[in-house]
Amino acid sequence: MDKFIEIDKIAYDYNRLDEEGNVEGVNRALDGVSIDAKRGEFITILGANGSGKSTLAKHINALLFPAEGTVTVDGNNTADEEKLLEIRQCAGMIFQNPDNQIIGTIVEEDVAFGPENMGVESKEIRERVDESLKAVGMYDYRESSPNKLSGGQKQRVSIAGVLAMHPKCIIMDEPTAMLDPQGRREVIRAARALNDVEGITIILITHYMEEAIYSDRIYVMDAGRVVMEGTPKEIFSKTEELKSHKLTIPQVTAVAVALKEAGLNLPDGILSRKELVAELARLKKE
Amino acid sequence: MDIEVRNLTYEYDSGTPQAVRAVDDVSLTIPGGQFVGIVGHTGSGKSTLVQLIDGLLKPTAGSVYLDGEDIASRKFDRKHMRSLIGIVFQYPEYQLFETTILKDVCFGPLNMGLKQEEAVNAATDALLRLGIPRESFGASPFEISGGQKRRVAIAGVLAMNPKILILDEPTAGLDPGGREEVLGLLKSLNESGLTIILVSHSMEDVAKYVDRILVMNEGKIFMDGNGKEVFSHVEQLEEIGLAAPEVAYLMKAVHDAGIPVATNITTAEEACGEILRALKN
Amino acid sequence: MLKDITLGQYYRADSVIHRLDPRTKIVGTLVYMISLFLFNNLICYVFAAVFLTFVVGLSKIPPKFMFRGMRSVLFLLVFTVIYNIFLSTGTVIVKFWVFTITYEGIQQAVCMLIRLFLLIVGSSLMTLTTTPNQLTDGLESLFKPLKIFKVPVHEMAMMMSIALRFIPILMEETDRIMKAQIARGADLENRNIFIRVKSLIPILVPLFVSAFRRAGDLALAMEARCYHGGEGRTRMKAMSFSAGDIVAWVILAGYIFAVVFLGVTFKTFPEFLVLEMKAGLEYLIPTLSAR
Repeated sequence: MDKFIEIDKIAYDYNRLDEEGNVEGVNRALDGVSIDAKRGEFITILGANGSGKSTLAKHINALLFPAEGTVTVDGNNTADEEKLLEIRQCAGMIFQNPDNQIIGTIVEEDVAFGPENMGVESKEIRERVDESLKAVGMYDYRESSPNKLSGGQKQRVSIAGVLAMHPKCIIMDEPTAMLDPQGRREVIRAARALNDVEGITIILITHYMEEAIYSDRIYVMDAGRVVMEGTPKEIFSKTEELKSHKLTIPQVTAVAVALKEAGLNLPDGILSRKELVAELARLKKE
Repeated sequence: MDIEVRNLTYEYDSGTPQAVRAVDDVSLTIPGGQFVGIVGHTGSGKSTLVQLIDGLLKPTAGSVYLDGEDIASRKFDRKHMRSLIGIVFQYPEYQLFETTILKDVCFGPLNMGLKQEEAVNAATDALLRLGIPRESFGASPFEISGGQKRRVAIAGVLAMNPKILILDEPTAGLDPGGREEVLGLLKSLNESGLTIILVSHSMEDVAKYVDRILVMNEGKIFMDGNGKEVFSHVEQLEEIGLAAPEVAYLMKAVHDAGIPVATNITTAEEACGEILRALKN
Repeated sequence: MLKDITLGQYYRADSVIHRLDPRTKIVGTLVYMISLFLFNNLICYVFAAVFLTFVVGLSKIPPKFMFRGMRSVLFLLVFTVIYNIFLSTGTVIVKFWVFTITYEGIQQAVCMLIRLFLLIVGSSLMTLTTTPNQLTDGLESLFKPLKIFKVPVHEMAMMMSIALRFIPILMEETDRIMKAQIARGADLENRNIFIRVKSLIPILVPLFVSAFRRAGDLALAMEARCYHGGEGRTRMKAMSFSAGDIVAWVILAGYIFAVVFLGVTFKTFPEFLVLEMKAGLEYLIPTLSAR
């Protein structure tokens, strides 16, 4: 399969400014990061606060540009200014704070914002807006004010806003960090549905381990570098290594690991309740 | 210091047709030194309840007593009240405003009427307890990492030396490392005698750290008990839009698969021990 | 407390007024407001009130909702009435201590009260039946001719709609920061003005920091959604005048005619305006009849 997103050894520096606004020094936020995603993949990027994962996300839809290395999205290099709008349309982005990314004062007007910027015809915008709102289950709220919605609902409106641009990929930068458990479930469910049903490539950035277990592959970042890479099973069987990067493992996996250490004959990388119960049932029979 | 809440009611837009009863005839007692978790979905009245306890909102009906004394009485002037109960709101780092960390943390103690020197001492003490190194005291509170900001903001309340500390979602937005840090800190503060009231929607955190859980729903106390008692009612919790910790579900599934384990388990360590015990028999 | 402001709040309903083109509503509201300032006797106001009642009836907005917005301006209304009653000169009715109540004063007060009342109801009718985005679209379109003078019409409209979106959010945020600082012992109710001004710093600094952070986030989010200024932008709800609008314009023309008729009959217009109108008509009629 072709590589839909290809990030090749990129580096990015933030300028540290002194009180007069002169450049005092540079902080390297990304350092030789390489990541790729195939069409239709569900990728999760894990990392503690300040590990550089948000900076990385902003590179994928050309909001930031690497100091070194290249970012290619669907064959277009983000450094190519003429392709800027094309890249942003192709790779949509959801941010952390649900309030700070809704532009419209009415749900449907917000969803229409992207396609309006792209110059889509009025009638088609209407169709896209209705379709997108239905896809995230927010169609009934199309005429509500965003201020009256819950956090999870606001994030779903933001997802609809990106969907209406007909992207091939959606990058979600900690979309659940400010939500309650109910809202988190809503957003993750929506993301998985888009990946399964519409085949949209998803890049989910999070520090909730439970949200990562459904992904095809996981990258772990720490201090601006990619430090681990693999399937959820592979990643979550390395408890100690994750801990050293200030991360944990999902609770069910933690129980499985503890049982294994206590001498039970269990395989590595158990992620779901079902798997663990099945293994325990097998042990009991033996 | 004991807290007693008697028939407490609070209505938003009271007296208008849009009146919403956020807290509805709640009575409870929190003895001094307890670590209490209040859980409930968004809009269940948990935030309103703690603001009433802190005296930031005036109840529509009912009263709050501290060691038997009504907080509405004249004995509790505002300053006295603030020095007894500290409250840390959601995303407290958004209240930082001073030029240095130390000055910001001094704000509360100075408002309490402490002298400059005493305030600095109190602030230093609080900052060190929260693991902010002395070297950073002169740094701007806007230029440190998110996790540090959170801790500085908590120090700002702790420096007022309250007997009771209320925290509304203190771990929201933090990574697992940061969450453990903050919660571990609260545990140690509690062990040194502080009453802690933790408002949270993370069942895992609450199950692991608190002595007592209050579940709120539609302005009322829906359940009141320790973790084992509360989380053994998974169905009832789900009815009001909450969930038990993942291990509670795991133990139920293990039990249903024919392995005789107890189902009132709330942490990973307990779960492990219980499964081993059941398999050995 | 800060949530009570109704201005800028859209009331969702399906009515002929809701369906009107925003430009029709903006021009209509403007005409109505001007007419209120040209009137100064009861008969005219009764006419204006009947007209407004008719429009409010069409809008399907419950009157209760309309009046909710009045609460926040109640002080202004009371102040106007008191000001007019006690500070007008004319035929004295009652006199006690330093106060004198005059016949003209009462008349003036009643007129001002009705005028302000109609003004507020009239303008909130527009904001209640038009979403803020439609409103800014309408303004953008009406002010388009100014583009010739390099006025950044699109940018201003965009700024306005963003402001409308964020005002309630920032209000809530202010509330939250105030509570947090009160909890840290900030004294916001001190009588001493200096202490009070000083105590605003712990509220304003975090509020500004937060507003800037939000602005930065929003700019990024807009850019991510391909925003690149007004050029090449289309609209989901493209504005177009419908049959309803034509009817509305005809009614509006009738209203203007009635206003002129009433104004001339009761001599309520300022003199220069009457002269201007006369001159205009004297110019227009011969020109039209010559055709």
